[in-house]
Parts: sequence; C-alpha cells; structure tokens
Amino acid sequence: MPFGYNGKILHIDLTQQKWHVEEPGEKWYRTYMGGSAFASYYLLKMLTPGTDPLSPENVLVFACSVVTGAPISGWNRYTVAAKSPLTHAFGESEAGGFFGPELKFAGFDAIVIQGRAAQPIYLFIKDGNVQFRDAKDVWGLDNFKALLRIQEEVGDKRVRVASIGPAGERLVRFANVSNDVEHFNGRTGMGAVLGSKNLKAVAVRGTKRMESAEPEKVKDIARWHNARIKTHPPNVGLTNFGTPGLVKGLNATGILPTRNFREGVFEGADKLNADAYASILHSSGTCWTCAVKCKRRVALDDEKYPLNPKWGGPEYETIAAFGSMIGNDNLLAVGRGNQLCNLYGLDTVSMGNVTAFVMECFENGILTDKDTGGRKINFGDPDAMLWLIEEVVQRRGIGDILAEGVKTASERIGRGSEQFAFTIKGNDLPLHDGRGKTGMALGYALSATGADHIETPHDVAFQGDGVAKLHAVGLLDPVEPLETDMAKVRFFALGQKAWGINNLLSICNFTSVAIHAMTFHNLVEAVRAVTGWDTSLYEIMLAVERSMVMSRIFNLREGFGPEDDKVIRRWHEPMPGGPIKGKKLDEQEFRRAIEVFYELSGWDRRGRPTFGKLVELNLEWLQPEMPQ
Amino acid sequence: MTIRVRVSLYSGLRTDRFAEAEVELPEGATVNDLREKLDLPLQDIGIVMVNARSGTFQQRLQPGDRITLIPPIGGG
Ligand code: SF4
Repeated sequence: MPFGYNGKILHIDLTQQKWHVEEPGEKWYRTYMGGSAFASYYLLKMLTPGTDPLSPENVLVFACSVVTGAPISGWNRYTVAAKSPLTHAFGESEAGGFFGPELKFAGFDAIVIQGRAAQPIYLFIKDGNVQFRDAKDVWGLDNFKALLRIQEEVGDKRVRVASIGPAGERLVRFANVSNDVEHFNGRTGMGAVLGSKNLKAVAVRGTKRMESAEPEKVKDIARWHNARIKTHPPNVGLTNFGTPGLVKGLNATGILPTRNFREGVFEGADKLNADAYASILHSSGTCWTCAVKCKRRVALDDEKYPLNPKWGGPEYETIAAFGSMIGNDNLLAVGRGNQLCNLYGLDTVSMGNVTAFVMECFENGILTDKDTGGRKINFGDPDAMLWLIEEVVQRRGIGDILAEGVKTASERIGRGSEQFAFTIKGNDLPLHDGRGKTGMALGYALSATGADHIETPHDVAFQGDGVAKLHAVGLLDPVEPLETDMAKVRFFALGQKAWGINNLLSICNFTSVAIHAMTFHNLVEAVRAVTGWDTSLYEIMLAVERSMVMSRIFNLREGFGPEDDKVIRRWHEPMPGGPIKGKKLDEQEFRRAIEVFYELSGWDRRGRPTFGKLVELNLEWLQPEMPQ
Repeated sequence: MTIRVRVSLYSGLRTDRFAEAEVELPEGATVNDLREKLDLPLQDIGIVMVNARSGTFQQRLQPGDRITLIPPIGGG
C-alpha cells in the first residue's frame, strides 16, 4: 500500500460521461512526484500539438502531489493544467485552500479530463465514486452562488468546490478557477478550458485521511514547523500583515509596477499598503492545516464599494494590479474589483494588465471614447477599472476584444497599440519589475507558462548574508539584484530548482524553503516520513528539473522557440525615476544570460534539451516529440 | 554596559539610513531592540540573518554579531 498518496489517477471522459481509474505504480509516482509534472506527463501523452485549447480535445488536469494532505502547514496545494487558451503554450496555475487535500481524501491523486459534455454539468467525486451531475441550475451563477447551490444539491456543506464563474462560461481567455471563492488557480485561463468543456465545477468530498509511513515523525516535524512559523520573521510578517505587507517594501525599493510597468514608484502607495488595509480588514483566513494564516478577508458597508468577507480580500498581486499598475490609490475600489473578479471568475493579474493597457492606449490617443461607447478609461480612475471588468465578463463592446487577452486584443486593435501590450509568451505579467530583480526576470523569460512569479526565487532576499538561505543547494555567492552577470545565472539555475520543489510537491512557498519556516533538511525528512521512500534533496531536485524539461518540450512541440524566451521592451529601457533610476536590463547581456542558462541546463542553442539530458532525466520517450 | 554589532541593510531599508554600520546597543539587547533603535516598523522587515543564519526578533545579540535585515519584497 502506498503511503502519502492513493496510487489512483481518475480519468474522465466528458463526452461519453464515463470514468475509469488508472493505477500507474510506485515508480511512476516517484519519477514525477506531483503537480505540474503529473500534468505535463498527461498533456505530452494525450494531446496532439496544435490542438485548439478550447476544443474538446484539450486535456485538463487537476493534480496534487504524493504528499498533499500530509498534516504539515502549507502542504495543501494543487495544480490545474491544460494547454492555455491565453498563450497556446503549457498552461498551469496552482492554488491553496482546501480542495487539494479533499481530492486526496476522496481517493484520487489527480484527475485527467477530456472531451466536452453535451450540456453543462459538474462532477461530484466522493470517496472513490464519480457522479456526472446536471448543472442546469448552476450554470450562469457566480462562484459564490454556485458554491452554495452545489453544497445544497449534493446535500453536504463540507464539499469542496473548484468552479468557474460567468467569465469561464463565456470563454474569457484569462478566466480562472475558484475554490471556495477564496483561493484561485488564477493564471493562464484554465477557467476558459472548463467553460469550453461545459464543466461548471468539480466538487470533492473525502472522509478518509492520508496515511504516512512514519506518522509520529511527521507529527514531530509538523510541531517543530508550526512553532518556527511563530518566530521566523518572514512568517511573522505574513501572519501579521499578509501579502499586502509587500507594497511598502517594493515601493521603497523603486520596483512597484506603476502605470503599465512604466515606473517603479507610486505616489499613492501609502494608501494601498498594509497600514491602509487595516481599514477594510475583517479577519485572517487560512488554507488547510496552515499555521501561517496569511489570507485576508475584507468587509465594508459602503454603497459604492461594498466588501463582503466571504468573497475574498485582495492579495499583493491584486493590490498592485488594480492599484499602482493603473495609477489608482483607492483601496476600496481595489477590494471591490477583486471581489467582482472572484465572483465572475477572472484572473486579477491579467485583468489589471488589460486595464493598464487600455489606459495607456487612451493616454496616447490610440483608443478614445469612440471605442468604448463614450466611457473614458484614464489612469487613476478606479471606476473605469470596475466598468471594464463588467464589459469583459459580459463580452460587451470593447470587452469582447479584451476578453481575448492583451496580446490578441492589441493585434486586433492595431494602430500602434502593440507598443503598450506587455506580455511574455502571450501571458500577462504578475506584478514585479525585472529591472530590480534580474533573476526573477530570467524566470519570467524562461517560464513555460509565460511570466510566472512563483516559479523562481526573487533576488532581493538573497543579498549579503541572505544567500545563506540557499547554501544547502550549493549557492554561496550573494546576489546583486540589479546585475545580470554569471553569478546571477548560477543563482537562477540553482534557485529555480530549489524553488520548484514547492510547486512540484504542491507546497505553499510561504511556509517552505528557501525563505520561510521550513528547512531543506526537514522538508526532505518529512517527504521521507510521509512516503516511506529513502529519498533525498538530490532526487527531488532532479524531479523538479524533469518537470521543467517536460513543460519545455510541450512548448517546443507547440512551436515556441528561443525567440520567445524574452522579457518586455519596457524592461530594456531605463527606469525613469526613484531609487533605481536609470536601471535597465541590457538586451545583449540578458540574451547572453539566457544562452548560458541553456548551456548549463544541457539544452542546445535552440533551447532544446539534448538527448543526453533526456537520458539523465529518464525522459528518452520524449525524444521523438522534439522538433527537428 | 553596551555592545557593538555590525548591521547591513538592503534595498529600500537603506533610504535615509545606511548600507552598513556599527550600532551600539545595551547589553542583552535583542534583534527587536535593534529594529526599534533603527526605527524600522515590523512590517518593513522580511528577513533577519544573524551571523549568516536565520535569526528571530527575540534573539539576544552578542558583541560583534553580524545582522542582516532585508525587506519583504518577494512574490504572492
Ligand atoms: S501561508 Fe498563507 S497561502 Fe500559504 S498555505 Fe498558509 S494560509 Fe495558505
């Protein structure tokens, strides 16, 4: 009997409304371990390159890891993956909350979904059984109403629901997947994939718990970890202030994305930071068995910007997306915009980027109120942001074009709007400026999903003695956030694989290595105690690399190449003011860094993993997939 | 009695302060006392290193200790 996982992958055919269970065996689990690697495996096996992401042929995967549901703070995440309708590349997004562990308790480690239901349905998975349920009374509802309705229909308030809102139903290409309206698989448009399959939601309920090989040892590590969370400064900060605590530091360092990444200092940042947030704070929230409790709930009895504690509070990314990025210092409007997106099922990072794009086009006369039926969309106007959310979700007027994402929208609008459309591999950027974090900029350029801020360490933390947090993986040189030298490439290459442990094992970064309360040593000890495997940091980091190479090959197969491993034009231009005034990413230096990364990774000059690399990673089966 | 410690500040924490300095503190002072002396609000600090190891706010400082303070500016 496996420990930590079920040994069962649930396959669903929506067209036929049939399901079966695959039991891939221990070696498979140990090779791929979880999350994005499980997803890449099935996407590479089952998807034909060139498939339309919104067709029934797309493959949609919900995946936990071999350790999800072990009672350790932060071991609660899951991945949703498919070919992305936003980027046409590998699409994936992780979320915390309660859904991942519940799926494991219901008897499955992952769900692989194909086809399209003839009518809207939702899946109800309970203790090893699957029901295809008619969604006629749920389709059209927002995420909150859908949650309540599904709880009522299945007669169980403890069911955990991953659902889409109207945005996913209308195939908005940056629609997200919501779980319990507080946690979101936000990026790369996974909600539109559910919508295209007529799949409103996946509801899960499990009554068993996962068994560990050495339960006492797991408990000991969990106790140590929870005690450390209480005194470890990065976690003290998250518990007290949540992610809104990042606004002040980023602004003071001159890298708070402002007005479509034009600037790095926002004059209204004091009205958006953790102190300001206190005025709308209702309570703290958490994810399954997590002692950090970094989530924020907000409440406000306001006629214009009402806030409901059940509809989620804005995290840092959303505060920047609907705040500094659009020149808005009205936190109440940020909170309202966030809640509308949560209900409708829109990714706030993309929606903020879309809004900033439209605002800069207005500023430059590329778009005018003739394009919007009379509505002016200017930087600093929070109500314009709220208006655009409605237009996009209804796919009304200009909203219909914007619902295709910034890249496609700018191509359709033309008129020079492309110069203000900032995406990487077609993905909108999370709210971090690569000019002040060059290692993270490498991460954005090289991520298979386009720009991704949680696939890589952010340089700033590893300055001076901070680098000691990565000593365990052999990184001894401190990092200079503004340099793109060879030390930075080394930092990025090692750091990315260390960071990737969390994504691979579906663990929350905010509880884990390298910065937060977990240590590399105890993480490995915990994986050993949960699974019973005689594993090591080496084996786990090798699995991380395997996962990255698999998603790389997925993209190569889809026609992406080295020319797509780049960042936005604006980061190659000098920062106009603030503490890092004049700093930019030198284009040649940055390209050289990417090429050295290929080399040290065992990739050729076209960014293709060599056959030797595939052999090392036990991925020879992918050699025929490699474009010649 | 007082002790002297070596303090390095990074990124935005340097504004109106310093990059590196010796700081005098009363004997028995903790990282938290240092933080207050430098007028650094709790929310401004993400990472605390004491002699290249993860430190805590409650940690007592010894003469000659090397303290690194970095603001919280990661992702999330
Ligand atoms: S640290 Fe925050 S986001 Fe991460 S698991 Fe805990 S409560 Fe959830």
